[in-house]
Amino acid sequence: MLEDVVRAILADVDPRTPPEDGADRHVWQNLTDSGLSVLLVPESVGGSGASVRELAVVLRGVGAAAASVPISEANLAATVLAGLGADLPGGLLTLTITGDALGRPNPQTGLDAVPYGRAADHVVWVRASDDGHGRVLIVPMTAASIEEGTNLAGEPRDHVGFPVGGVEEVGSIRSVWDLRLQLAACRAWLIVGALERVRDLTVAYAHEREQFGRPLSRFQAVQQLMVETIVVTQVARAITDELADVLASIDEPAEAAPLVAAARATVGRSATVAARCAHQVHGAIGFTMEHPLQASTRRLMAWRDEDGTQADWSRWLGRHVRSSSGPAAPWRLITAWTPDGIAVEAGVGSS
Amino acid sequence: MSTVDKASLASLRAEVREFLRAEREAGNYRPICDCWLEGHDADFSRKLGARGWLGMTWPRRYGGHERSSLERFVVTEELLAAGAPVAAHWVADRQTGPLLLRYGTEDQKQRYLPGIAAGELYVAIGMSEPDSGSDLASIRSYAERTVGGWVVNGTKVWTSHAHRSDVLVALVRTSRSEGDRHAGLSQLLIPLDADGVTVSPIEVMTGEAHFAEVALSDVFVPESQLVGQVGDGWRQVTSELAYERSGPERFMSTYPLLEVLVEEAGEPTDGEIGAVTGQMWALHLLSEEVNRSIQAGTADPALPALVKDAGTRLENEIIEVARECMACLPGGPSLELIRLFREAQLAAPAFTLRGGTNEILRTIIAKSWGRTRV
Repeated sequence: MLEDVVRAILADVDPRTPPEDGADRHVWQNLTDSGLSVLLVPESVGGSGASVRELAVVLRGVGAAAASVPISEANLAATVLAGLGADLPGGLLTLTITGDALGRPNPQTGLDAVPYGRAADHVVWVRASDDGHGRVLIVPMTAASIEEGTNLAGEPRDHVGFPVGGVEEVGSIRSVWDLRLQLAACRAWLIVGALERVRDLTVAYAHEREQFGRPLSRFQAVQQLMVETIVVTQVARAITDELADVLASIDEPAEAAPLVAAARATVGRSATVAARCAHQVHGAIGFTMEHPLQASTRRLMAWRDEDGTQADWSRWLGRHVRSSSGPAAPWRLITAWTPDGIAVEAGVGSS
Repeated sequence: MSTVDKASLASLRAEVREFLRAEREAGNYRPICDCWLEGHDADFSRKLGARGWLGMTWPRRYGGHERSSLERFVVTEELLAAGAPVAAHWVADRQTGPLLLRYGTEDQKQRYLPGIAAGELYVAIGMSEPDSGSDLASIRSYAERTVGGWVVNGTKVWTSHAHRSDVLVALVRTSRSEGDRHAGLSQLLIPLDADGVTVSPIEVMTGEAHFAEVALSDVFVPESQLVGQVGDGWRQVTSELAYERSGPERFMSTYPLLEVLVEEAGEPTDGEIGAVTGQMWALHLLSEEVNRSIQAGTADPALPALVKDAGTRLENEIIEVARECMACLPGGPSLELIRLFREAQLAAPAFTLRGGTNEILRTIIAKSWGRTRV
């Protein structure tokens, strides 16, 4: 089972000691050797020919293990390049989008906050234009300069400077919005993985740690905190599982934009609640660097607002619900997909 | 279990929506919050019965329609989304039918199920007592064995619509056992017009009197009215509670408010509306999952409790979002929005108390989660 493969690859990850050059090379090699960095690329061109469902499984695993690898960026970068018929460059790939509503303005000589920029061999840069299309450019890192930056979790978010004319144009994509939605969905699956890890750490700690002669889990006030963590994690998992099923069954991500937004609004809130409750249960030990909890809670804090903030997505969904009369009222939207993930009413998904 | 294709589910949903649209246009109901509790309308229940939308999954020989639980789920959630008056039949259709199908005698099934499925026979739940709320096993209503049946004494409280119902399903003690408090409990079907039964409506802060107190004074209950076996009461109510806790009514009580809010709200509260839409979407999925797992017999006690806990908090949150929205409406709220907002606020304290107080449910989640997963 894919979950077992992923778990085995990530079994030795210790998130308390971030890798020196930013990315965990050993884990990265194992992931690529198993074809898990090219999941959506067709087998005919060297990919794994898997679906979004498998991508969600891998991302949850990586999110849970708090591994330092750009697994979602690499997968989507490879998918974009394969879609253009371009060769996949070897090594570690990452992805950044500029110029759309949720990205920074299109730059001339440098890209901000590139995930794992310092560790990447190539940055796939999608440069949006006003008509919604995107030029796809590759920044070869051999000619690039790096200013290191990190997110709250200590993951590389680097400024990548490149000489003018030092990027290779490989083609263009029809819809930057589709790619933005896919990236946002990937972030949701990473978050759910981290939530499950935080939940499991919290439940275990509450049962093991004793004070006043009994486990913390026997105190109702602590029980309530532990349960909050469980509840918000299950809520997040339900909507992100649906997201994977729906995205796997439709052709264009834009059809499922409301569900992407709903998932990001929901997992963002879950992340906030879970991080707070988990730390409250763990006491001081949980926020020390020697404890694994902080590696996961810092990811929750960082990821809830990456690839579109929680507020961005909540507002997008609220505007969508409010401004489309009739078919997009909250209930019709929620019931728009059948159990098989096929939309039953026309026009529910378009933005 | 029959499989239902997606096209027929979609057309069933459309059929219910069309029925509701026509009923609303004809002035036969208006959407209210908490419709499954406060919307008691015998005519409406009979219409649903005539449409085949009650007792949907029951065998035809008892007045049912042998449809799938997913179809039933679709019908009930559409009724709730519309704020339709479904209170009269709600309890009977949701849990008394399944209770009798599983534990009832052939005679009981014949006598009660067709009437429930027709939307004509209404049931009240007799579980809580003045001294027994969350601690249900501490109930004191006692059924003394006598010739041909039992003589029952005790008081039931918070029995919704007992003053409008035909029969009470009463959890009573049938033996004073020393050990396990859960042993020695049974359920009896007590006609609400029987000698010794006194029903007193209780008015709540919404101005409605859906609650009632039922005093049982030397009420004779014949053997034919026992549900299942003597001493089986705890097991029966536990399985009923799973149905009771996990349905869409546990997160949709204030949906009619949200729907009108969305029509009138402006941009400043887009984030709040998006947030509650996301939460509702997730809870809808979880509620579907609970429904599937109950049908498959794989019910995990944590999951219905979790849906109810999160769902009832969402019901409250929608009210807060309404307050935010209404504070920034340039032209002011409509009369309908004001009415729904008031209904929701006055009903709100009940959300997190009924169907299992949230704090107790959380102890259930804590205990069953640790046991089955860690």
